[in-house]
Amino acid sequence: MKRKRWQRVGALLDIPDDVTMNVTRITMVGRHHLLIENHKGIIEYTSELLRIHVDEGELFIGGVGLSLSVIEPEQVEVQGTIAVMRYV
Amino acid sequence: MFDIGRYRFGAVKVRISGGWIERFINRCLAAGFCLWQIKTDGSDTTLWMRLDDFRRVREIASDSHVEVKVIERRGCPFLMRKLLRRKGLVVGPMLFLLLIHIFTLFVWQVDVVGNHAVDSDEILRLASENGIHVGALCSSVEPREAEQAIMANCGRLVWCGVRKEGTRIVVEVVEKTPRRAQPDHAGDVVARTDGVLTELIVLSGTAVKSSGDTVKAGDTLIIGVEPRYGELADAIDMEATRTVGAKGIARARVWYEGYGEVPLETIKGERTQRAIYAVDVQMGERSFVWQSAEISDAAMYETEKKIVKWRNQIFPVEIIIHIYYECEPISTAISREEATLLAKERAWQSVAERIPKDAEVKERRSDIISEESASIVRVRALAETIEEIGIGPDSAKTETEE
Repeated sequence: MKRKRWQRVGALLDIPDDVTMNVTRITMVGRHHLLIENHKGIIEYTSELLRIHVDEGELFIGGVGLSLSVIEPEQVEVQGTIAVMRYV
Repeated sequence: MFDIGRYRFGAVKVRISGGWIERFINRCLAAGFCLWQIKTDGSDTTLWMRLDDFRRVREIASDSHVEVKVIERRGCPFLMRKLLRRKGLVVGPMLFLLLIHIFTLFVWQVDVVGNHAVDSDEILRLASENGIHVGALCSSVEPREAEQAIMANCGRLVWCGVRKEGTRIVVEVVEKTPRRAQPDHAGDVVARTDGVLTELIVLSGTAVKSSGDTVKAGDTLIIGVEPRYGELADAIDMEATRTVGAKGIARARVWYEGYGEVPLETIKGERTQRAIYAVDVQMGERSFVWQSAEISDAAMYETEKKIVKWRNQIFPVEIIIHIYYECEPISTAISREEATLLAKERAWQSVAERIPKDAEVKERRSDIISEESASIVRVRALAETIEEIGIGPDSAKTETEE
């Protein structure tokens, strides 16, 4: 209920959802650089696989030589050759 | 990425093995840690974290059942620790500062300023006797006492000031001005110029001339001796007299003569449009002709000299341009009356230049001394004045000083 109210306020004021409702914001630059904001933590991490807990569920990232160049409570920056990314 | 903030507070690269890596990372994030460059090779994971965060990571590592091992260190705290291990680097600067401090405790230089006649070594000797010398402790220098001692021991000084300028002591002195040597004879009043005395009033000394006497320049008018108190005034006996500076008023009739001449016909040059240029190059005191001018002996020229400058800069090599303006002679004739007036004016001008400002002009006369048919009018001017002609010893001294 509260979430829908914020969504309406945001739509009315033309404010993006990631600001009003902490929706995950994903920015991908090319194939080797990925920035995920508003995450909830790491579920699994290997050099070929990265599962990140987000508000909408789980974000699955597969690739080669994946590394977390910066990880902070609000955002995580991924580097490596990204092959696949999907919500689970 | 390794920013300046991380370098300042220090950062460590750790290897995490065993346990739940993901849990460890999430716990670190929950604790507000910042992690970067997280890489894994399957079994081990390496990551960087701040030194402050690493000090709090023990509990998280224990909960996550991981083993944390530092494999690299970077930043100021580690650099400082490394430097502090080298005792020379710590002791050296401290020793340097200590030596600087010790050196500033002593006097390194003593300067004497303001002296001309009194020898600096003498003042330095007196200063040294009062504790002001190279190598003395600055704190032991007492400027006021030293000033008084130097003044007491050196009679040729009027004032002495001692001041500290760090490790330098400046002794500033002012010397007594030597009194002028008094002449044996305190001084007479003598005549400045030729004349006939009209008035002679003696204020000090004894008159040797009287009113109506003709005097020449340099003649003594009032002698600088007078009878001692109680003696007769007319007894000019050196044993019974005392030497004084002669003073008095000596007014005399003085004559001045001047001369002026003006030709009836004068030739003036009027510039034509032609000019000839000559260029000289001057290097120091030596001058070379760069371009010479062909000047005709028959023609008249007005010359002008120009020094080439660039933005008021003075160079060691100067270029001097001589400009010869060709002039055409033009004869100008004036009437005899005009020439006479002009000649009289010149004659009076030559007289007026020599008459003192305070002189009282009694009579003026001018005579034409040239013949009627002469091409030049010559005039002689005569002026008679009454003026002060006495020069006393005081006024003579003043003139010398001026």
